[in-house]
Amino acid sequence: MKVAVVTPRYGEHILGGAETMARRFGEELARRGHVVHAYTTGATNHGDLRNDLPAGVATINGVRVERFGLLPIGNRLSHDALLQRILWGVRTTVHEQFAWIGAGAHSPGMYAALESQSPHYDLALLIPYPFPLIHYAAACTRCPAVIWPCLHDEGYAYTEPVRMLLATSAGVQLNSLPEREFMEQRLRVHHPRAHVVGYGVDPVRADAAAFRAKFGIADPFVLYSGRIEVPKNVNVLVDFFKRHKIDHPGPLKLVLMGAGTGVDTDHPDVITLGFQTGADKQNAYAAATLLCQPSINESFSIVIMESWQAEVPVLVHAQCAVTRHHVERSNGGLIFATYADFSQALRTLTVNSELARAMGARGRDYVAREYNWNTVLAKFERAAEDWIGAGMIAARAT
Amino acid sequence: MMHAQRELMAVMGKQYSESGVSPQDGAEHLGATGDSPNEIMTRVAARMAERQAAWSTTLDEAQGSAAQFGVAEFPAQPKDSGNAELHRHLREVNAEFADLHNEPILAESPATRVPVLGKIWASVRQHAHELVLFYVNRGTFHQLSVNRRLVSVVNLLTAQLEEQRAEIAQLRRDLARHDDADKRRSP
Repeated sequence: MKVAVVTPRYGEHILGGAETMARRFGEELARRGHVVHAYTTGATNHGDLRNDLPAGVATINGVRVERFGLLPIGNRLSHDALLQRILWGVRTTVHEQFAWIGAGAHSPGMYAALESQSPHYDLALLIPYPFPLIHYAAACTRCPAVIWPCLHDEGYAYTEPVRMLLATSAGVQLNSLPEREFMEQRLRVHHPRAHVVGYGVDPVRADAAAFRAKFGIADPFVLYSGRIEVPKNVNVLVDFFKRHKIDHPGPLKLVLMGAGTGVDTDHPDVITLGFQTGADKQNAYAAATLLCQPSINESFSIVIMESWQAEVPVLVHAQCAVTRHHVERSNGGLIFATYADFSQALRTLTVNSELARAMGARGRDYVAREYNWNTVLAKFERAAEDWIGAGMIAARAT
Repeated sequence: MMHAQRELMAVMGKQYSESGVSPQDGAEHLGATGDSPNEIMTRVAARMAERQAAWSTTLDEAQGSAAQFGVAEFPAQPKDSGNAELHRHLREVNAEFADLHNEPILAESPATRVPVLGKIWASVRQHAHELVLFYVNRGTFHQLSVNRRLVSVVNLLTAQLEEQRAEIAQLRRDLARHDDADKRRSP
């Protein structure tokens, strides 16, 4: 099978769940014998797409990656105001929503390439949904265009361009059952060829002692891994942790691994490590007492899977249907909604190490069973038969 | 070099020179079609407009879509609900709570047309306007968050109220049935 992966940001050092998923998925497809080409831009920053990397072609871990330049956004002030209204859920007209798609960061080079080259692919996988570039790229693709949206309960998702993108695509690839329920119940998009494929999680080879030695952290700690930003609810985690330390003084630390702004992390027991990759990141999972994922906007959550790979239990927010779904199915952690739940969970998992170990082991088994690459790619290949078949039928009809 | 490629280099060149990288953006693809970046964007935008037109046939353009994210589900009014007024207000508050406006509208000022000084004045006005927007947006965001929570609370309470109302009605019917049965049994 020949697959085009279309995503605004691509590379080993690009931070972001969807971007990591796009890259690793492509690499594993290539390893399985499929031909995978990535169409991307030179952007590296999530919030502000601009040409940080040069345009050109390279091969990264078996995937041919072609980067295209981006045009600058025309009227930045009105674009940002419109974006803000959509993100905040201020009512916008359908006309304004499509105007936002038109005014975003676009790449004519990429669109021309997709128009001329996409007929040579069996399908194109476009990920993720909030970028205007993905909407235009879908309109330029001349093979079955499958949207891998990574949906969240956020302002963008409820716009008509997004509903149109999902409903008019050849297929939709979803990460979890709750994401499918969200698409159908909240967005009212019922796609006959929407398939829950999931995502494969790489085995973690971790060394807790190496992490403790390198970073000089001997005390037990709660780990957070990801963007340190308010939209990820990290402010709630830090706030609850500070209150917990007042109520239950002790050696417990909160270690924040990742980059971001807007969260007040100033506290003697809160340690920020910055963005970590490779062995250091994996070792951090193994050294942690538990991993807390406070975000209520996840379509999969790679970090809780990575934590379970290291046999460490997780603590997730009750308002996130996806992470709650994983925890309830695996019994690999606890769920919190209030400060009282949070504090009780920390007490339980720090005091009862046997229970914590058992939860971590159940999480590891869940990941091994449900989210190994063989299982996930086999699901994708079955879904692709449906998508490609549908694309051929559509092509014949036109 | 073809015209399209030259134009592309000109457009990209500015950005690339700022970012310190060399321009090579997909020139071969543009060269193949002979279209300029503007022509490509016009073509794709036209295609998007066609899709939008087809998609929008079932939508009310003026109303826009409901801003529902993060809000507890709006409960449907039961057929036998005794409180139509409550449901009317609930419908309205769900429809209106996100109707806030923060469009960057900067009124015309004749003074900006004065030679030399006008440009400086326009720049000062623009910066002051952006500063005002920053503070207004902060307040708007907070108000929206509060609105979203309040509407969620009212939606949840109404759903619960309707559930309890239906349950009470059922219990009353059961009680009345038992009373009737008792009356029939008693001499």
